[in-house]
Amino acid sequence: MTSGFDILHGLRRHKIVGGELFLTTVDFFVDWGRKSSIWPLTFGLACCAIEMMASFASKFDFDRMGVFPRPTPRQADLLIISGTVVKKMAPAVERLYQEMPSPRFVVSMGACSNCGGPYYDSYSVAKGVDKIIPVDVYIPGCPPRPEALYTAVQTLQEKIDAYWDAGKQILKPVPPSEEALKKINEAAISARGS
Amino acid sequence: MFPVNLVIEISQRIHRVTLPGEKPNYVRDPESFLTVLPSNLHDVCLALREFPDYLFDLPLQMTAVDFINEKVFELVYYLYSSKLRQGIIVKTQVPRTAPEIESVSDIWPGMDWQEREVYDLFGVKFRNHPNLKRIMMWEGFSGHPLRKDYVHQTDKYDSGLEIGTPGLDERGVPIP
Ligand code: SF4
Repeated sequence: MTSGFDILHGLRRHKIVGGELFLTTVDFFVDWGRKSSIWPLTFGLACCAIEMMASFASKFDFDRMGVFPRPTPRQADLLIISGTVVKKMAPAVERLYQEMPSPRFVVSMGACSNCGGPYYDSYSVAKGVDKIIPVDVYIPGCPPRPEALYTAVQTLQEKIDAYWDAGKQILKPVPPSEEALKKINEAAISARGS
Repeated sequence: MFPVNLVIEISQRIHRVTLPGEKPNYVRDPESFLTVLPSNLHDVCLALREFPDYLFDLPLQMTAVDFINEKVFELVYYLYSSKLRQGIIVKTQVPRTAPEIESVSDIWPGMDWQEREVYDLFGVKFRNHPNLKRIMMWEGFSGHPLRKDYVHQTDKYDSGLEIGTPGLDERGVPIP
């Protein structure tokens, strides 16, 4: 009978007869679910959106990290600002952000949405999407490659971890006593009828 | 009325395309433009579409150029005939102080939005246009940004350090 930590921190794994037993806390579990299913809004603004679309397609396949574009802001956790935020579009971007349920995250992708980029001196381009909504991760580049967006998603996952760790003391899972494990094992054996 | 002396000139300015599939070859040559008076523009355009020798049925594009030193806006119309495979460029000039010209959107409905764009960005007024309002800039925007004397008013989306901001040099440093 062995017990030890999984590679995921905070997840305790116990081998019992007929399988394994995982113990964790609700906080950790919710946190883990949140960072493994970051659903972005299907929303592109300019040329950076082409790179974002490539990221979702089969070659880069962000679905393997649980990043899966959703058609409505009501179901989205992440707003990827992929392109030039023009002043005419800015109220709509702000509104999309307000329509997303909390907790919500924003990734600013590319020079344009970071600071205006090549259109800094234009009369019609907002000088950065952070003039209207808070941003969690900035990606430099014009356009950033899908690998950079991948890094942004990883950074966001680390940030989600950090948000909840910082907010409250996470209860570490207490290992079950030897007696409790014995009882569980007996129950498992009798359930198998052997 | 269509000015008769223009007929010869038009025939000299037309870019003929002989090979099928070839696009009209516009050259940057003053001889390749047909320049008309603004008061004649509508009649000339009507003739260019209707006369069997011209049949310019496809308005490719129209735009404007701001010649601030000459104090004129030059309006440029690119036309093409899909039946006769020939092209022509028509130019006219309106004064900057009162830029106004007859709309050709009744001749080519495709010119409707092109004229709205020129109105939006240059402030040229088109008479008898069915729906002359801004098309690119948002409602409540003031000014015509592609005019060379346009001064940008900083708003809440700007950082206030752009080139051309009053009181700042091009590095964004306040001018003493
Ligand atoms: S950062 Fe570059 S690639 Fe991205 S939207 Fe701006 S101009 Fe296009």
